[in-house]
Amino acid sequence: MPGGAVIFGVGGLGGAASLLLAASGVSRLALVDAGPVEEADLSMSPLLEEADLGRPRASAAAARLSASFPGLDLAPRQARLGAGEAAELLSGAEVALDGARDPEAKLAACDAARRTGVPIVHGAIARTSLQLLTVAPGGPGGCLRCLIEEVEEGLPGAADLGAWGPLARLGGALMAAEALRLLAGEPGAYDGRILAFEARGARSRLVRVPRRPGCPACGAAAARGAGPGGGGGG
Amino acid sequence: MSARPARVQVRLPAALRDLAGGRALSAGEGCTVGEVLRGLGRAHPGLWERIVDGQGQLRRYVSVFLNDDDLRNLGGLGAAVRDGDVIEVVPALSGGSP
Repeated sequence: MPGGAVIFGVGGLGGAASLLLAASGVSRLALVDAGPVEEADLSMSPLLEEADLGRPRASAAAARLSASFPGLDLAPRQARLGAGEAAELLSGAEVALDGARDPEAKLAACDAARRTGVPIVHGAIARTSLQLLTVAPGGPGGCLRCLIEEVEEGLPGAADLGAWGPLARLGGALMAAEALRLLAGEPGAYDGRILAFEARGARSRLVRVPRRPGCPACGAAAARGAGPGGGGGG
Repeated sequence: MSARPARVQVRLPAALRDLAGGRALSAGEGCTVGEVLRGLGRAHPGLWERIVDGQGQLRRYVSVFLNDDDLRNLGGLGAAVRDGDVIEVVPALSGGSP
């Protein structure tokens, strides 16, 4: 999509971020999500209501944004994208936001962003823990795949642990603020470092993400055009 | 003369609390961070393996802090602990919100 933002996952984090980006004047949003609206979405996302239950999440979120911002150029995509398809979607975009709930989708977004050179703001939430990481081209640190080489079976994520609704709104707001910085040409506050916020004790940390030698997403292999996720996902 | 094990606190993230009886904060004992975490792992099966890989190294997606310092800057799991220290385990980006 030409210009604007691509948002992977429009549940709590992505939904809140989308709303704030639209309200801040971002004129093009592509919304990507594979799932239907579920009960858990209703306490998380400002875009989804009870009447949306069972509907495709991307379409439902787009409909609510369209009603509030009639001039917004919206492109909902109800799909689980592999890195190749995600890279096509990112072509020409100015920023990407990752609010996806499962690790495979997050890694596909990471790989696509590295391949296309689009800065990406990753967000993750599990119960009362929130994390953000920005990866910009030429940035000081590594990417998500530097940390998570492969998806580990059995590792619980947000879908298993649930998430605290207010924290999803806070996380979405922080992601939107970071995306607006990047769109304005400013450096990201979380570029190359994870903001880890624990709401229970109101504690936060910034954790540097070192680049992993041989990381296929941002190492020499990526520079030669090789790397993971060359085809589309299921 | 061997050092007396220090009494410390271990803070666990949401993704690992279920392995530790649901507790965010657990008491631990040991002379090093590794000893403390291994002791906690003996009491709570599965916890150690979530933090450390088969080669005995911290998993890449896990950061461990000793008080305010990243363990990677302190020499890793062999970093010495003192009474009252707090060890915090921070995993990286486990997933977006539902």
